[in-house]
Amino acid sequence: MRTFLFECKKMLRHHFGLALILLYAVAALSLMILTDVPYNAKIEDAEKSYLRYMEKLSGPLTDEKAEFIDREDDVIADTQARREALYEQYYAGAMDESVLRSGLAELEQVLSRAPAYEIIYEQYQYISGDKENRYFLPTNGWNALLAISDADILLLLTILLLLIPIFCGEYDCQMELLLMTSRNGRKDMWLKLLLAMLAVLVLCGFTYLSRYLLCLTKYGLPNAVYPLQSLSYFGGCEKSISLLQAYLAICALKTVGFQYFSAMVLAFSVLLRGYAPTVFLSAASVFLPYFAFAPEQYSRAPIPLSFMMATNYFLGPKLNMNYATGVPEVLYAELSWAELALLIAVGSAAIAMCVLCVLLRNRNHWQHVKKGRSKAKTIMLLICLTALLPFCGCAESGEASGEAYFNCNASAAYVSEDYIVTSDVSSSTITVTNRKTGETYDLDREPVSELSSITATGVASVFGRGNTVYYLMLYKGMLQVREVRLVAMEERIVFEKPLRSTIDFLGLTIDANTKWSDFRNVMGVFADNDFFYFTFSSNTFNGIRRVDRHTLAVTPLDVPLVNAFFDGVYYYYLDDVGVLTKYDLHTQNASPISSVVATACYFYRNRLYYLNRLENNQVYSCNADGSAQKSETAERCISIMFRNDALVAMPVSGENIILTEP
Amino acid sequence: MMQMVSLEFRKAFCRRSILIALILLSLLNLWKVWDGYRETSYMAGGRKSEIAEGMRDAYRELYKAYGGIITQEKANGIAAWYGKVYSASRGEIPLSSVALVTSNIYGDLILAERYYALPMQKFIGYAAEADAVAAKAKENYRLYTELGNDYDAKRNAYIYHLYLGRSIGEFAYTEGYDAFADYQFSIVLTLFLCLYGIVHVFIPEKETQMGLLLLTTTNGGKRLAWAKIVAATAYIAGVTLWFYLLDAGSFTLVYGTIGGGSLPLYALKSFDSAAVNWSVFQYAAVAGLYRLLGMWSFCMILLLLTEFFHNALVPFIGSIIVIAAIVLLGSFFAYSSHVWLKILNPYSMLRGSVLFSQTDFINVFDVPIPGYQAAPVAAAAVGLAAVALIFLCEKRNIYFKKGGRHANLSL
Repeated sequence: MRTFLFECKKMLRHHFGLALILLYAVAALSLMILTDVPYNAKIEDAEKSYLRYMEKLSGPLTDEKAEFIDREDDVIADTQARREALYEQYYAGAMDESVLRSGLAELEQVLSRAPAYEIIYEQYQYISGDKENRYFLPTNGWNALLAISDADILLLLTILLLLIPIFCGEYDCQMELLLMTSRNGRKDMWLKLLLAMLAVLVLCGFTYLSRYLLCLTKYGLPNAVYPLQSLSYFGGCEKSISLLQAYLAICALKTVGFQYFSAMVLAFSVLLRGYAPTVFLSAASVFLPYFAFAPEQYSRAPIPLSFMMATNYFLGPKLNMNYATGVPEVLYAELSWAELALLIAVGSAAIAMCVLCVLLRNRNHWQHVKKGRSKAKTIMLLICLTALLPFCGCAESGEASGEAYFNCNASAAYVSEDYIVTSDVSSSTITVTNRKTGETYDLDREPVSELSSITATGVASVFGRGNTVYYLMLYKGMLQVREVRLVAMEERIVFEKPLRSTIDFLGLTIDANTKWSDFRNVMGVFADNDFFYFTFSSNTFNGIRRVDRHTLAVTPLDVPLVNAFFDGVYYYYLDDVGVLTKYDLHTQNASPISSVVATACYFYRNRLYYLNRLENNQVYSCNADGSAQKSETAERCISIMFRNDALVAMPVSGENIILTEP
Repeated sequence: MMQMVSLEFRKAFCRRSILIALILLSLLNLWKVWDGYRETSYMAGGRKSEIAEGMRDAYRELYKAYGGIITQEKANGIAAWYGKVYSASRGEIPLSSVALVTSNIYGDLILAERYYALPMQKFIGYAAEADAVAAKAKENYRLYTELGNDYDAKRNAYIYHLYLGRSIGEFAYTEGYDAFADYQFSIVLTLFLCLYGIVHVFIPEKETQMGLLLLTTTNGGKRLAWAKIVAATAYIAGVTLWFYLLDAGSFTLVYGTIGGGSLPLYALKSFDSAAVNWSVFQYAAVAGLYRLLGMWSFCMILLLLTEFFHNALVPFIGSIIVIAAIVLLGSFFAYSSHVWLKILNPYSMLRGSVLFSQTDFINVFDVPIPGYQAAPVAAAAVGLAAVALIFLCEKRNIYFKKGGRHANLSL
């Protein structure tokens, strides 16, 4: 026991093992927390109604449940049709405002379930493919826990740093010659091996337990006994195993893999007797197969890597359709339990060989003296490391001052003292007109986009501030917010994030599902000094996502986008009954301005033009805060829009009325 | 001095383990090239060519007719053939009306579409696209000059001259070149082997405390460090060139590339917006030199890391982490508009396609500098800075020229 404690002390204190383990724990935990994004972000957006559905549906798909889903489908489709009909009646003038509002309020409860229902329907379609093995359950938690097939490279490197000094430390100072004479050499060897295995076990246990706890607290892990095939990631799995069993099996296999790896590292270090060859060979034994071979190629080989990537054993066979014959060929068959057992047996035999190898070379020693480093070198090292740190993120935007506004309408335009910037929805292009010279040109001026292989999709939305405008571009798989100073057409990219969900790591494709992949269907953007605001209008998310310019934190803001605008400081919208509401985007406080009640509005050069509901939908204008109200036309109108470089109101009948010319 | 360098080289790098690793890794590299060919090409005799027999022979036969200088006749021939095969494969015309060149219609369709019709379409259509780019750049130049935006005007003038008159006049088999430009596995191998060599430069003398003794010799200290750096440079250059030439040779052999080296670079799949108007051969040569310089500057950073440790373990693991971080950042920002991040990352130098496949510029005092020109300067600067830091870290030897009282062991 005493010798064991000595060995412990040597490893944990003299070789900085404890510090290393703590460092690993901190790094692994923070990496886990920071890089975790919901597997399906739509579920998080519609969580409440989704969970309410799950209360009813959770478990195997029965006839009643199928019937319920069909009925729900009808109900939602029906409600959507009724909403359309209500609006149609209203615009035809056959219905009063208040009737419309009360009618909409009735439908609201059903419509709010629609986004969650879409996810449920997707799941339903998946489950219908194999009713026996696929159950309904909330999937985000289990997907976050199970649906990853990356190698734990951090754990691997920590094990290398922890285990190699055990033996190489003594060869380093030729201590083993002296220790050959010691009495307890062989006995001590066992303790070292035991200690190494124990350390690896602790590291693996910590990693897998903390992952489990993280997913449990963040998403919840209900229905652990449901079959693994309930997750679409494991749809093809041929083993009958429950979710929790699968996680335990994967963790156990990975632990075997890391034990195998550590036994190999120890064997290498007694055979090669030096730091450099040991670390080279150990790293090569994992990294080279990782980069050189595909999972199908190595997962049958009894090497540590195949155990470390244990998730592959549950993914089912890989098929390839042969078009000439029309029959799918099995490229790679999933390993059965028997084959897996055989593989583990071979692996264990290899571990035993490594252990034997270590025991046959009975060396032993007590101390490893670490020389202190000079201060200057430490400082130098720090400088080097800092120099290697990447500098990324967005450049600070020198915000131009002046009037600013953004309308959430599709026909939005921006007009400043000198320029008119209009967007065309059909071609997604934005055009600039110089009011002094009358010259007109496109806002996007990148010549290389003319090549057909370059994917550049514009978004017809424009936000302006003074003589600077911001627009959105989906360029080569990136979401870009571009800032253009109109005077000299100087363009800068002030925000750029990748939309793709994989990255290429030296020829390997790695999953890198970031929160930005969800920004693909963005509709528009506006900004202030602290945040970017992206507007979304889709079935799953309707509202604004606020992105902090510095921390890049994303906050969803649940505000209406129709008849809404931004005046450079506050966001305004017409609420359910048409009352203009001022919304503070920073504090998320809404305060109604009761003097303005409108059916439609358009913000234009610091004035708000609106259809006054109190005055039979005549066009009025006022300041954003509701002051200085003024009548513009006496005619009853149905909408206000920006058309042909002027703000116009469309009356119930007759020609458009021009409200203001630029 | 030369003698010292050669002694250092032999001491650090002429090791059996390095030789064995070099042989094994080279074999692995050859296997990987062959495996990639089998996995992706329809002509390799692998899984994909099971669709139909005789694809490779049929391709070669057709190449005699369609390869070489593009003429209207050849283009029409391909279009007519493809149209026929396409209609037959959809059952619009009877199968018997097509003279099959492979064993079945799907084989013919793949051959016609993937290997002839689409590349030909791209080759012929490229000139018009390039002209459109040039025209837009010209218009931009006019507009920016008018608005007084000097930088963008210069940038567009450069783009105009770059794209003006681009056209592809020759039809050739490019699959091998595409795969070669995309191939990254040999970078992993080169990095690994260089890393293994580098931990033998400074560390053995620290492990055995020989360094202290060396400081007392005439040639110890900084002179020795100089010799070591030169030896390491030679080793890095050797390994990098060996793998690059091995790649080039094995790709030519495995893919059986026939001609096409004089094609312009923008004829390749992912090089539509190439930053240069070179031929594929020129590009291959320059990309090799870029990799050499990038690998050298990368390895000098790693060599600097080894200065701070007394054994190979921590620098080796630290280097792996540094490499992983740099590569991940490199591929994350490969298509980003943050051109500076690409230029300063040694990874872009290792993988030439990152720099040469895009027309990027950086703004240096309102002068647009193409990214591929700035990157080697940055890499050389980083490498030299690392070398300078290594010198700063090395101790001065304790030998005095005039009547020193210290030990004086001549080497």
